[in-house]
Amino acid sequence: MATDIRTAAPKGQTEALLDVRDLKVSFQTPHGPVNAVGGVSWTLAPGETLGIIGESGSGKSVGLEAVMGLIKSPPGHVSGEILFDGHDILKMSARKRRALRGDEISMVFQDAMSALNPSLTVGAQISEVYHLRRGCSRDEARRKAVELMDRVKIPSARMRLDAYPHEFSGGMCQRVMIATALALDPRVLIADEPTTALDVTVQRQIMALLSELQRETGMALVLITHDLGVVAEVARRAMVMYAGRIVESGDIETLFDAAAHPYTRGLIRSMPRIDTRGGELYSIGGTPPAAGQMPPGCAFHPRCPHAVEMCRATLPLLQATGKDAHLSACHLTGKLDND
Amino acid sequence: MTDTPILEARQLCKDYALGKARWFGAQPFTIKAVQDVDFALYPGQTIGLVGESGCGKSSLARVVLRLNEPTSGEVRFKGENILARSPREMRDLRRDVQVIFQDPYSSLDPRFSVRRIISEGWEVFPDIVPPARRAARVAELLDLVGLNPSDADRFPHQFSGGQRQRIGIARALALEPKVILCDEPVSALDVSVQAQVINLLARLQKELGLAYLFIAHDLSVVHHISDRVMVMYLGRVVEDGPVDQVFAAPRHPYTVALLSAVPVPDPKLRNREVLVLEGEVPSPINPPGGCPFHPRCAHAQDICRSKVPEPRYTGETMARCHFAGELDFSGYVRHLSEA
Repeated sequence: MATDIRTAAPKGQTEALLDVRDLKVSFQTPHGPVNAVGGVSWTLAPGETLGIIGESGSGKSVGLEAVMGLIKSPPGHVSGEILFDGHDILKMSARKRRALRGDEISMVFQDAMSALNPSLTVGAQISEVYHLRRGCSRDEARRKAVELMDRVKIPSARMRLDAYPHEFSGGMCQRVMIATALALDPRVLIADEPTTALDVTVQRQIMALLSELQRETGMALVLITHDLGVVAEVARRAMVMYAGRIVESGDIETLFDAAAHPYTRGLIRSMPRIDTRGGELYSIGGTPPAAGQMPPGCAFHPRCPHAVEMCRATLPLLQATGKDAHLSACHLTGKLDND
Repeated sequence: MTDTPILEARQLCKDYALGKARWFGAQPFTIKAVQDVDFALYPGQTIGLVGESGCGKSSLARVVLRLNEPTSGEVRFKGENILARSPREMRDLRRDVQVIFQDPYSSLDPRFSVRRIISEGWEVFPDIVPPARRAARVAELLDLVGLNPSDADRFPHQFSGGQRQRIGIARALALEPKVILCDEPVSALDVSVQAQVINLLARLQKELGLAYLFIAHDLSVVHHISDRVMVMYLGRVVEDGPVDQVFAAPRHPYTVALLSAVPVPDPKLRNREVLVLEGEVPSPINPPGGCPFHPRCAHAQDICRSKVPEPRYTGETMARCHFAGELDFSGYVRHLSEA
């Protein structure tokens, strides 16, 4: 099985904190195995902000859930290597992995309202982490929970400790979830569409909070999103996923100014922009393939305006475009016009 | 525009009572969900309606459709006040104002075939299409929205989100409406599919002369598709005008905050000036006195805390701010016109 070139952090940065090699995730279904992630490799440097862009079904969430160890097996099957600080997470005992979760790698989910337990107070859910993992007494844990709520800027934290999630707005619930994720000072925070369900003004507040916390703690941030705008505003480097694979990766300026893959170009062009108006929007024809119904060759070829014979037959691997650390998985890399 | 508006609202208000009215004692709380809303929608035109969740967008839509009775004010269709109509007379109007819903998964009956979904309205309005022509008309409608006429006998679960939204659009068009109320029609769709549906709505408007009342939280989408835009905050329209003018030179600080919060898919603009709003939308049960926006407004003066601002007009735009036109916001929106 061919392995893609790894999408490495730019030179000059310290060694990778997280090094994912040929990660594959598949699920057993009544209709046979379905590949959700078909072999992705990437690295994350300490303190870095990495954006992962993709539409629903592209495998962006599943791939990161595998890093967190949230894929249940069976029906799921995870293969490849996930090196954290040089140690393969996939080979660790369940006990060791559990210690890693929260302490080293933590995750924030999209829909905070439903990710929190509706029958426990917010204070209980935050302080639980200290109680269970640090052996703090209840009072100590509650005191730390208040500190943490202050840090994520929940107003009058002490008073709201005994409130339930339904008494909080969507933005405040998201802050609570960020607080629980940060309780043990992880070195990596994975945020899966953290602002998708929020209004733009609250989205801006949450993104500002994440950046600020990142500056304070030096943690690395992996931001999973379908919103190109959000990625452009916070990430230094990004990967674009399509049908379970990375189709393009590079630093953020290169991706937006000189995208090489037809899918990335299509995505950027099809966004209605707040600074331009009118006329027909560019649109990519068709829809992303359903998992389990992958077309042969390049998964994007049925929707690609440039597809040639080779695209229908051979899977393109990530290859360097010539720019520093810019990779694209397209047979026609370098042969397409820069329109 | 000397002709009559197809749909018009005049000083429309909707209060919701909270809790049961008591025989004795205090009045129950009321929420002023819609206050003093005026608009005039002309054939072939689109009005975009934006604002954060809870601002009254959906309440306004429900009152305009007369799904809820307004507390006061008028809704006019072709100049006639429809609130004077009896429920029976109201029914004749329903075919003229149709709705496209946000969630294409829950707005189609899973047990109905596409044919039945599209033709169901003809059971109520049999004179629109004679029974002998119905099969052909379903095929025409499917073709019009970019689906295959052979899809008529399939069921909603066999379609993707974008395709389902097309079915919802075909259903709305089946009754040959004059106005379509689009309630977040593309926000549940993937970016690459969003552009297809936006283009479809724009094409149908041109071909059929439809008027759209377009509710969305995505300002880029509203900007792309609308002629006019109304910005709502706590039940009131705080700014209203031609979309180009409002986006190029917003005069209400809330509009400025909304516009500047939108993430821009261009990394070069990430360090631009952003007007970050503190806090969240206050509770509509106990709204702030004076200008409802003053607790979050960086420019608030004494008068803002004591007096509700009257609408101020400049040309075709209206802003409910004591200082409309006197404040300089050009730094926050410069990127919208320069790129």
